[in-house]
Amino acid sequence: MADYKFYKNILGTANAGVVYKSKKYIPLDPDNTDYQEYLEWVDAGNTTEAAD
Amino acid sequence: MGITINGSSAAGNIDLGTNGTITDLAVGGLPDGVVDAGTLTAAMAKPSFRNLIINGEFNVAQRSTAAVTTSSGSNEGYQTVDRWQMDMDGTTAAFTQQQVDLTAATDPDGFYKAFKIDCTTADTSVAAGDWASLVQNVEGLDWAQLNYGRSDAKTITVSFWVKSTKTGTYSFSIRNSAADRYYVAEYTVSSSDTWEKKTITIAGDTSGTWLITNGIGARLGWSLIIGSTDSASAGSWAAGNKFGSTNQVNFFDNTSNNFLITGVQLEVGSAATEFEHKPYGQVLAECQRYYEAIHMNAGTAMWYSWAHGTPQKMEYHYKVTKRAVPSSQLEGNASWTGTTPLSFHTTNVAGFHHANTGYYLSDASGDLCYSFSAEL
Repeated sequence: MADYKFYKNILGTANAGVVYKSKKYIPLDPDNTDYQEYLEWVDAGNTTEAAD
Repeated sequence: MGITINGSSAAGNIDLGTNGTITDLAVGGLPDGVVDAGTLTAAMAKPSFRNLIINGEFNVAQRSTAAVTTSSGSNEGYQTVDRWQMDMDGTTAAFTQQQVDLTAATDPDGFYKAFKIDCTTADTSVAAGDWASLVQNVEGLDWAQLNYGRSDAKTITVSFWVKSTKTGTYSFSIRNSAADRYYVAEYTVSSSDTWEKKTITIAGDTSGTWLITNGIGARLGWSLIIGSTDSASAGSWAAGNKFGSTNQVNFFDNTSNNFLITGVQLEVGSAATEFEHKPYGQVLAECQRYYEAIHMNAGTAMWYSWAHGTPQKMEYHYKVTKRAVPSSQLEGNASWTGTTPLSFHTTNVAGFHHANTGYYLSDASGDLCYSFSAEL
């Protein structure tokens, strides 16, 4: 299981954010420092688990 | 012609002089009993909201007031007092960080909380990449008034109270968001385990890019240990990423060492004014722009969902609009009962949603149960 997993918006049409270690909900907001860390994790070659 | 408003006695007179001054005011805090240009200048020298540091008294600690053991890779970042974080890398030292009470007559007057760092595992050999700092990142929207990166960048003065059992040279640093501009300043702890007030004046940086957005305007750091890789000579602005002096003492060389700090103020100008004490509620609201804690009593529940058609929804409106869309998470032993909803937030509202199952938040102990973080 990856550290990060996408979750979808209410309509189920697009990703709304990522969940970190099944605990922290992180929005796809470039000003959010958790999201900035997530992008660094992706840049390091990691893969995000797909949403349910 | 002067106008005299006479009272029944000479002491009650108010005289409007021909030069526009008001005289004979012997009471009311006026040093010379005269309201004139000098009086107004003195008042204007201490404008309200002049401190760019948030929670400089360390009064607000939404996350925890208990000691948190910290080492490189464990419990770094924001753990206790609001807006202050411990960052480190390389060093094998460990310590506890905690908000502590100030109750002694020898403590700085007017302050009743401080931040304490207590060394619990020593690192007696400073490697090149070792460093640890107490950090506050100031938002660009607040830092913008200093005109950094322009020819008219303003001089600032940082003042604070410090008490450490480890005497010697310490360092303070300012860096921009991109960490490609820095200034390192030194201060000296002269007497062991004794409160000392330090004042550092720094001319503004006329170069580099300094954000004036909701991102990081400036990274402020109080160094405790730093190796050769990240240290530099003090006293001038330069390009690069340095955040401590080459003369910095190794605070972590002994487990008997502890370091306390309070009354941190950063203001425009070349002199330190007295610390601006603000109401607790005001500072709490300032902190909540970056972090908002939800507490619950033991054995209770809240945030019950409601059905709008089939979906189960719950909304929470923050006390303060956030700097950015926050992350959120359960804290401690709190848990969702029923099912775990998805979280959809904006900068001022948190929404929780599940397609068909109801839920509520419960907590077995009376403590922090949920948090929203938009920290820098």
